[in-house]
This record gives sequence, C-alpha cells and structure tokens, in this order.
Amino acid sequence: MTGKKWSRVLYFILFVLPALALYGTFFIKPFVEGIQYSFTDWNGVVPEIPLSFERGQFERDVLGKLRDTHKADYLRRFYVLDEEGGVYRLTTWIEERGRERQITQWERNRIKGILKSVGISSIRFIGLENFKNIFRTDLRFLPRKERVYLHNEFSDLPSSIGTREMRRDLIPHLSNEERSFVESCYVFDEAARIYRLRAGLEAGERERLGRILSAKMYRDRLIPGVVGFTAFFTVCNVIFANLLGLVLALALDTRIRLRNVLRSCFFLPNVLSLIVVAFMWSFVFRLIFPKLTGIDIWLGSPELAPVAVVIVSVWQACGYYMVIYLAGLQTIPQDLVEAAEVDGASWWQRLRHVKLPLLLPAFTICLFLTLANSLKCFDLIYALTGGGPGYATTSIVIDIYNNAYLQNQFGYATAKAILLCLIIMAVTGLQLFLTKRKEIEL
Amino acid sequence: MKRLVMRTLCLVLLLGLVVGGISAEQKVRLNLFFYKQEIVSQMKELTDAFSAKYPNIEISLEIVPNESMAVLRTRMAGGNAPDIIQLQSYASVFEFARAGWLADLSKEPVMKKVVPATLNSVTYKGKQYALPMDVAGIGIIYNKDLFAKYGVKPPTTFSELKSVCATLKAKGVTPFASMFKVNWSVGHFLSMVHTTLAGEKLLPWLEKMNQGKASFADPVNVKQLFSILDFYKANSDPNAAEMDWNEQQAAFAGGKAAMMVQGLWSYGAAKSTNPKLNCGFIPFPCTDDPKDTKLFADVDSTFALSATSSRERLKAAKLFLEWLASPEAIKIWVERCKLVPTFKGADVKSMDQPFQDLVYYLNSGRTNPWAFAMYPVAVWEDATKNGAQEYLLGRKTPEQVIAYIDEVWRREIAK
Repeated sequence: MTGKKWSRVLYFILFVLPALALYGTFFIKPFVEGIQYSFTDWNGVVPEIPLSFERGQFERDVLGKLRDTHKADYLRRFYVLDEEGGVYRLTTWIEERGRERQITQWERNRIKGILKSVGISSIRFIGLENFKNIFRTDLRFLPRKERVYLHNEFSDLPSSIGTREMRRDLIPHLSNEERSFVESCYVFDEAARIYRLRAGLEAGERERLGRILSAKMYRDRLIPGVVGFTAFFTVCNVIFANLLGLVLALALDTRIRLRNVLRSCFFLPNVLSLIVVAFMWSFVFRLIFPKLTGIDIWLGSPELAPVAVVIVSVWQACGYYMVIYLAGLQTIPQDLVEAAEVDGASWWQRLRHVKLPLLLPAFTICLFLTLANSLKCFDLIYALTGGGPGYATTSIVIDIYNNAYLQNQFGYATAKAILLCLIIMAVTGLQLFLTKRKEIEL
Repeated sequence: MKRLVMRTLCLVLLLGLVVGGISAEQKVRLNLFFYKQEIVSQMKELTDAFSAKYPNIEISLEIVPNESMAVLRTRMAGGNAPDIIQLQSYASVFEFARAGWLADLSKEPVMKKVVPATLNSVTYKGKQYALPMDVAGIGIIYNKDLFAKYGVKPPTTFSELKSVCATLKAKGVTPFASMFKVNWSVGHFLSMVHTTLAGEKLLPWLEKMNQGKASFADPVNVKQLFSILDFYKANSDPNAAEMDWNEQQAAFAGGKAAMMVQGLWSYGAAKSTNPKLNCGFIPFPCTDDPKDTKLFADVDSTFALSATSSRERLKAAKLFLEWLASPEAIKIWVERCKLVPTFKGADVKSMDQPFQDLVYYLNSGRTNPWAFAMYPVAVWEDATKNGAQEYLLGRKTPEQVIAYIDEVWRREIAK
C-alpha cells in the first residue's frame, strides 16, 4: 500500500511537476505577458531599459531622485559615462573576475525596477485604447465600402460597354450634356444587349470620351477587409475540406483496387512542406490554370486570389481529414451496415441513416480542427501571396504580423492577437457544444 | 562493446567542446547581418579577404533578404543584436539610432573618406550612426538594341516618353516590363513620381509632414500623379499583376519588353539571364520640362555597428569598416558586388554602361533624393507600397491611398 502511495508521489514529482512548470513558462507566462503588452503602446523597437542617458538628465532625474544610495550605486555600475563625458551608456557587457559577460535578465529587471521607481519607463500604459482602435481607426480590419474606377485614362477606349456598367456605373454620374455625348459615341446594340463604340470618332472626341470614362465610370463596392477575408476563407475551408475529405474517405472505404496507393496519394500533400506547396501552386496558377480556365490572372487579381488560396488550402488539408473520416468509418460495426442492407436499405439510406450518424465523433474533431486551423491560418497564405495583392488575402494573423513588424505597433498587434484568441475560443467552443449535444441526442 | 563505443563518443564530444572553447577564446567572432540578396556569395569574398588580412577576426554572415527589419527588431528586442548590421539609408538608420541601438561613428576616421553629400542619409541629431556604402538609382533601364531597331530615342520629357511607348506598342513590343504582384517596386514608382513632381517643395513638405501639418497630396497635383500611374499600367504587360521580380527580369532580358522601371540592382540579374544585353539607364520623365527630369538616386545600403556589442568586438567591427575604404575592398565592392561605392575617388571605370550613366547623373548633380527612405518606416513599408499596388489593381481611389498614407504618418509621428 505504502509503495503505491510513494510511487504516486514519485510520478507527481517526475512527470506532473515538470509538465506544469513547462506549461507555466511556455504558455501561461507569455500569455499573461501578452495581455499586459496589449494594454501598452510598446512599438517593438524601444528597448526595455534605456541604453543611454544625457548626463544632466541622468544625474538630475535619476540619481537625484533616488533616496536609496544602494540603488544609485547599483545603477552606476551599469551606466558608465562615455569617453567624452556627455552621455551615460548602459554597459551590457561587464567585467567580472577577469572575464567579460553579458548582463543577465535578472539584472535587467532590477534596473528596470529602479528606473520605474523614479518614473522612467519606455513603455506606456494606455488602457483599452488598443482594443478600441481596432474597431475605430483601423482602415482595413472591418469590411467597408470603397469606390472603384473602371476605366484607365491611358488605355484604349473599350470597344463595348455592358448594359449594367453603362446604366448603373456611368449614366447616373453624368451631366445631361455629357450623357448625350456618351450616348452618341456608344450605340446600343439590341441583339447583343451591349453598347458598342461607334467607328470613325475624331481624335478630340476620343480624348474627351476617355476623360469622361476615367472620371465618371465607377462603382461603390464592399471591400471585405481582413475580417471579411478570414470569414470567407474559414467558411469555404471548413465546408470544402470536410466535404472532400468525407467523399474521399467514403470512396476509399470500398473495396476498390489500389486503395492503399490512393490513400497515400491523397494524404501526400499533407506531408509536403507548405513552402514547397506554395511554390508548386504559384507555378500551377501561372502556367496551367490560365490554359484550363481561360482566366489569365489568379494570384495577382484581388478578386480571384482569395479563391486561389482556398483551392490550395483545401487541396492540402483534405487528405488529413480523409484519414480521420476513414478511421471513423472503420469503427462502424459491419453487422449494422449489413443488417440495414438485408432490410432493403438503399446505398443512400445506409449512408444517411447508419454511417453518417455513427461518424459524428469524427465529424466533431474534423470540424474543430478545420475551424481553428483556418481562423489562424498564416504560413500557407504568407508563402503563396504574402497577404496581397493589396490586402486581398490578408488574414487576421497576417494582419497582426504586419501591425507588429511592418508598422511597429507591438502593443496594438498583441491586442489584436488577444482578440483573435477570444474569437477562436468562442467559435470552437460553440461548435464543440453544439456537435457534442447532437452526439448525445443520438 | 556498446559501452566502449558510447564512452569513446563521449570523450570525443568532450574533447571537441574543450578544443572549440579554446579556439573561440583566441578569435574574435563578429556577426554580420545583411539583406542584399544579390550579393550573397560576394559578401563571403569580401569577409574572406578581410579575414585573410586580420586572421584573428572571423566574420560570420547572416542573410535575411525579405522582411529583414522584422527579423532585426526581434533580434534586438531579444538582446541578441548582430555586431555589424546592413541597414537601409535614412529611416531605418534613424529608427534604430533613436532607440539607442547603434554605436556613434561620428569620430571614426573612415567617415571622412566618404563623399560628404552621402552623410545626410546616416546623420541623426547631428551624429553619424552608420557608414554609407553604396549609391543606387531607380529609373528606366532600357534596351539600347531595341530602341535602335525601332528608331526611338531615350525620352527626356513625359510627352516623348508617351510617343516612345506608342511606337513600341505599335510594333508589338511591350513598353514596360513591370511587376505588380509584389508591392515594393510599385511603391518605388509612386514615391519616385511624387518626388519628381514635388521638386523643390520636397524637403519643406517633409518637414511639415513630420510636424503633422501637411498631407501627402500637398506638394503635387494629385490628378497628375495618379495619371502617371495609370500611364505606367496601360503600357505594361496586361499580365503584370501576375508578374514578380523573376518574370520581370525574364521579360526584359528576353527582349519582350523594351524598358523596365527598376533600381539599377536589377541590371545584374537581367544581364546574367542574357549576357548580350545592351542597356542604358535614364531618369523617368514626369513633366514636359526636361529640367525636371532628374534621376531618383541616393545612398542605398549602409553598415551600422551595434552599441550593445562588447568593447572588444566593437573594436574589431570598427576595424572592418576602416578596411572597407581600402582599395582592395573597394575593388571587390565594385567589380564583384557591382555596386557604386560612396568613397571619395573610388575607381568605377570597369563598370558597365548603366552604372556609368548613374555616375554621370550623380556627378552633374541631376538627382532627386530617395524620399521614400525618409518617410517613417511604417509609412513606406505599409501605406505607400500597398497603396500604390491597390491603386494599380483598381482597389483604391487616389483619395483613399492618400488618406491612408496621411493616417499612418500621423500615427507614426504621434509616437
């Protein structure tokens, strides 16, 4: 009995404690620090403790204010007057017992603490400002309306204009005189239902027409923004990756030939490095897709790039979900399916009423994984389009990365990251709650 | 047997550790961080030549081509700054100097050896924080053979450029090889046109901008600025939105396009694709007054030293900067790296024609400074580059592009 008790204590010390310690240092601590940073205006460049002080400032504002001489002496050890005598510099390398060493984190924290006690800190606390700004001043986070001009002044005049463009995007923006001029140049073709450019226009007329078209032919369009794109990407990815995974699993669960080879084939994209996948597909989109679809520009077009990203993501992910669904299918007792068959159930009825309900646990997992993965997708999009063209494929995580590293707003980016974390927790929590309830109902 | 193997292995590893420790003791190891991806192997030559002269200093190279600033910031924040840092001129140098990360080089003798006009790009609050290394230009690199074949002359005004493009288009040659898929090149284009149109007003405008009293639209005629972008788009390959650096170089080097608006650094890439290429280099004309047509040229890269290095390493790093001004180093810089040096009296006669063109414009003073390098980093990296790309892809209006630039600029100076 005692032996068992001791072994339990031993297990606790040997396994649970280290695990908790690791969890604390690598998850809880950064998370708490992240929450702290999200309330500050840290820009990511300013060092934690100032690397140098002007002489007067240091002697007056720091040493002068410090009551405790120990603290002042401690600071003097690290801040040394440089050769010209005008500036106190932080010596990050100090000599100790004849060897040079870098100052430790502990010493840094002590310096930071002392400086803070006299009111010097490089990072300012700004409360909920960051979180408010996400919704108030960020011009590309939320969906918004933007105006798009349809004609480039230096391009040739379009030989025809569609009825919709003409009647919705051009005519309402024209004065009466301009309207009659445009209508005299573009003649309505009843048969094809488009406006055709009249032949034999003079150079002056062409120029005037070009000016009118470039200035007045526009439409207001909803730009999805970062949130819109992430939502689009998530919805498409969840639907298509699961659907394709399920279809592949059903197909490969039958007794067709070469099924093992096929299973490996469909799983293979998941083994490849994402960078390789991105390079491969950028070639495919440039060289093969234009021939297949007749559309020349994929990754460079703001309208089609999001679709392209979804295609690659689904292609890459569906093999993985196929494996999970396959495992689920193989746990279904064969006798149930056979009993249904004996009862005269058709293939569809067997699928709908026997197999799919029993697949619900696999479905729960797959849905959870696809949701979480697409909400925090970064690497694939980054390698494929870099978030471009413009911001057309910028997911929330790429946006966070841009805020932090391109725009020097670490505090703001951290606030967004916390927000994303909450969104992911809420969405996946809701999904788990709903699907689990469904599972219990069965 | 197994135990014996393990023991020997341990011994060997231990020995290696001791030996490694000893040799590390004797040598000074420096870290050099750089972003210029076109000179990766050449940098190795340069540091090897240095180590041959100073055998007790070893320089290990680290190349981070894209987003080097992002990597650098995290390295600095982690207390792990490289000893020698290649930085872009102006804003990047200023940013790190302001935060106190860079060593003050004002008193170093090597700073006296560079052309004084280049020191602007590294001077922050009266002190110099980096050594200017190369001058680069952004303009039109044109294919001389194609120009001769179709009987067109290098344009000096915007009207001439329009007629050159019309002629080329009529002959079935794409006027410009462009890359709209990646945002940096179009960002350069927007800033270049903006600077040329602003002319004399540029520096007063920048000052006002940094006080929060101006808008990006102020020094220029917005309509004219964006109509030049329209012009550029209309004379580019219809597939430009799908093209990046490689496709641009291929289109230009292969003779499918007669010009490209690029920095001179891309000449090397085009030349290596097609060694027979015969090129010239001219400014991009934006107005009909030939006097306004100036080359967009300035200091490109600089070397800065980390203020947080140990004293010993800082000394060794300064020695390296000193050595860069020696004829031996300049020779590698010019002949192998193919970069125009900033040192006084450097010999550049061996360089190709486009570089000679650049030096000609530099010497005659017909240049505009790189305004984009003076914008706050976030304004350039984010608002300008993306704004230009979004405009060209029909995603944003001129007003929206300018509003976003102004907004980011305000946010930056408020910090």
